[in-house]
Amino acid sequence: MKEFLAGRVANALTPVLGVFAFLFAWWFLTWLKWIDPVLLPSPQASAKAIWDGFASGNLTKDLLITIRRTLLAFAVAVGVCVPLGLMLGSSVRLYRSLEFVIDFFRSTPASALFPLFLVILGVGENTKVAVAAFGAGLLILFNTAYGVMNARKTRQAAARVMGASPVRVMTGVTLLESLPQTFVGMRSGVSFSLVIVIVAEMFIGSTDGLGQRVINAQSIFNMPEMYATIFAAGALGYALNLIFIVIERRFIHWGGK
Amino acid sequence: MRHLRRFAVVALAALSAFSSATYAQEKVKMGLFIASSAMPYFIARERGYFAAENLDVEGIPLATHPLIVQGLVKGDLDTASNLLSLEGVNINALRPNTLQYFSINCQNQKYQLEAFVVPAANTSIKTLADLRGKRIMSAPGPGNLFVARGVLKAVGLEEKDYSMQEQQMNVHIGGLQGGQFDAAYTLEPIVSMMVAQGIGRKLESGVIARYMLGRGDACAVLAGGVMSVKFMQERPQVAERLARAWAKALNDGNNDPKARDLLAKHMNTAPSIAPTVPLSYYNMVRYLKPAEIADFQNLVDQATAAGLVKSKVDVRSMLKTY
Repeated sequence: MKEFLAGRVANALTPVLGVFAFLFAWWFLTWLKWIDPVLLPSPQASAKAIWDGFASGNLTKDLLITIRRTLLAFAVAVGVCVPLGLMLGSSVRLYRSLEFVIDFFRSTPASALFPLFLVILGVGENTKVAVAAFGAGLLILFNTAYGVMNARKTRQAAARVMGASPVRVMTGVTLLESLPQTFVGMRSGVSFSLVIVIVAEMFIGSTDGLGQRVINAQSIFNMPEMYATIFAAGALGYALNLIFIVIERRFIHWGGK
Repeated sequence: MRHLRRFAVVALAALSAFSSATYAQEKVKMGLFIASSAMPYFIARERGYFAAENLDVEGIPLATHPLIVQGLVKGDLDTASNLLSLEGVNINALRPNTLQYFSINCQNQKYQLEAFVVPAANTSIKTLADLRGKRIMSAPGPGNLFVARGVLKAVGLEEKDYSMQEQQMNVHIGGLQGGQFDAAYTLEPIVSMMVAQGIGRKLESGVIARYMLGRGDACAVLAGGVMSVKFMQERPQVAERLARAWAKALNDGNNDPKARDLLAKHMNTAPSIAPTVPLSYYNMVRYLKPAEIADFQNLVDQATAAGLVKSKVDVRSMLKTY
């Protein structure tokens, strides 16, 4: 019984060991004053800034704005690129003809395309969402198309033999076969959306959002607030990723089987 | 004759050895924010003023002012050519004796670095008060927003009377041209580019001095040359030599129009506007008048009251005379 309990405790503690090690290393560095405390505040000061930020509502407001932009960009990316990926994936020739363009822009940092998006969409909310949707969309498109192309041919053939129409094969077999890979793209896409939204809030003009909060805190050397905001952004990214893992395990249970 | 020549050679060698012992070539690291206010560095480098003091000054461009301060705090930089006063004051409020200004850039209605600009055509805006209800973009950062709002407050406009959004400098021209904003609080050389391209018209320039300091000829201190206190304490002779070279560069920057050639060469200024783009007036701290120091203090006190500086700072503690 004792061994069983010890095992349970050890299992529960394993995931947080890294967190404790990280916090201890951070605290130790600041305790040694190895880095000037003005540039690197202690974990306690940063934790207090997180608390104060949520208590005053300022951090909550910026967090919600960043979440809204991220989810909007992600929704646009999914809405456009999943159907497009299915279409491209079902025609290898069509995909090959566009492969260079997709891979080229997928390899180009989306943030480097800010000037282009600013010219097309002007300054404002649309640009931030559009750049993030563009970057995330390419990841989703690529994964969805590959999911379709790599769908098991035997299952598609079996459906055809049993008299299923091409549309039925697509919706009943190919789409389900591609979903695990599509979800990988969506999971990467939502994280990528968050990154680009925050960078856009930092550098292409914004009066709110976590990115703008980081830049403002840095420019007046409010380092505890800057780190508090960075951790809020990190926690948001982690939470979005976790939500997708849970959804994936719950609904895409046939992945890899 | 031969003895005389030998004597001359020996004397020259001795003199050279003596001077190199006195003025050994020293390496100095200077942070640069690439803007027209960095001009003294390029003047001193290209005209040999650093070399004349036997200094090897390495200019290190950094994208933001907080990174320059970080370099000064860590000791990666000894000095900086043009650090924003808000950043300088803030770090000294948080960490006293980090840096001191040894030169100050003044801007006002004669030396116009900032302006409110409206579209060149199709606008009914004639004065700052007409900005009521308008969409305004501002140069980025809390400091710029603070002065843009401060100027509008001085003409009777509260924050609820207009909408203001900060935008990176590179989108100001497009933002005004595309009609997404009715006006811009923007900085040189963007102001000159807007006017030269027929996109914008200056509504009013030198607004900080006039409206926030109360005099059109006040010295609005937005930036200046700094040295870290550590550098000045550990290498006082080198700091003095640097200041001597710097004073010559400031004099050229203020009085020699040919120095403007360097704007296009090194400071991202279009050659067409380089001869006329307004510049700030460069002062070594030793030439600052009491009224100009009071102007500096006044602006810092206003920034402190607005919550941009953590605690009250006496600017005289941040000035170093060479």
